[in-house]
Amino acid sequence: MKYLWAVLGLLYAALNLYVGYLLVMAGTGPKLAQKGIVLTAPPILGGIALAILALPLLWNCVRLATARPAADSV
Amino acid sequence: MNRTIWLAVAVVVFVAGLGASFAEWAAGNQPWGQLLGDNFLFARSLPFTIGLGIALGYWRASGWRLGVERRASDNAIRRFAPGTVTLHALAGLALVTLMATGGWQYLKGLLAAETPIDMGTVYRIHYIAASLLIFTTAAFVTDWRLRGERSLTVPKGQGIRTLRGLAHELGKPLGSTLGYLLGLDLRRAAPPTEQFTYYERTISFPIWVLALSLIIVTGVIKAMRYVYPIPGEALYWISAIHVGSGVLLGLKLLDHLRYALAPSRWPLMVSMATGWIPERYVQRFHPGWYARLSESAAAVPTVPATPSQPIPRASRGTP
Repeated sequence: MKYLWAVLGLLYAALNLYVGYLLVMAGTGPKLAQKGIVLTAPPILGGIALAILALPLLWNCVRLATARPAADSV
Repeated sequence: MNRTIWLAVAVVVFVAGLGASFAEWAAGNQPWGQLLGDNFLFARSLPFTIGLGIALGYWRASGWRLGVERRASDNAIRRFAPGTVTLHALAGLALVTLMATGGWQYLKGLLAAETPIDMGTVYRIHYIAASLLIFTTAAFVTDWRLRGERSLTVPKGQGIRTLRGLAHELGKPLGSTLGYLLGLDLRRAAPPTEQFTYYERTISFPIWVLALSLIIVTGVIKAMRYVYPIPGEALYWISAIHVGSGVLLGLKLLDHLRYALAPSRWPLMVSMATGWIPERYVQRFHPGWYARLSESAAAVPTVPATPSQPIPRASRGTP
């Protein structure tokens, strides 16, 4: 079950990295560029935030999958 | 007995309300397409969905047994009631579905992309998941309000103590920065962790409450826009807040999974699925909660082990 959750977490983190990339690309693309900062900033900021928060999840999923139970673990 | 009758009445009213809406929808009296028909069906079912959630919350709260259960085989402690585990799983399923379908709608518009999936189906799934989320939220809120359940919130008059606990949990450099900015005395020992960590109580749960409240309120207003006319300007901002809170929920879910999937916290993750948490884990990482459990256990005579042994105590039970 631990490995299943590690894989699900990795998939969710990877999906969010991709969505973050899409949001930043859309925010900096020609369609929104002419519409002012109010419409441009949210997808860019949201995309960056998604990508940044996905990284610790990726790391924890790798740790969860590779961590050995310590002798004194509970 | 009364509580079960109330719940049964709520189920009957829910089925009748939904049935009446379906009958009108199926009669074809209105020239609505699938999108508009589904929107009306969703909007008109909301009072019945909320009512059923409130009835379930009342049913849970009024039948609540005070006390802490221990599993006889390994002395594990019950952290979550079976109903809490089920409702949490339903809410999680609804949330993931809502983010997938809502994100699909948003990205389709933003990227001006064609989609291989019929958007009517995407909206239909979105409405079903929204109903499920509203139902579980109504049940949880009613249950917690009636029982006075506050283990996930900051206790009155303990704000500074809780922030000190949070700063200790965050460690360096985040915790020490927080301590410096708020003037917390971090030379004092960390206050013992209760049933939920200081991070869960001060950061995680309040953000869930904020994001879920925003998305539910704005979503309900958006759903009602064809039933009650809403000015275009207001609807624009309501839609913007709805999308923003959707992104906030996506961010919060990332953080929630990051927290729950840390190897050191794996027993907490297991407890959210099974309800049980090892006694040694509680003793080591939740000493405040363990001390309360031990006090109450010492106050009652030992009873023969049964598969699931409740130990009465004066304080509240599992959430």
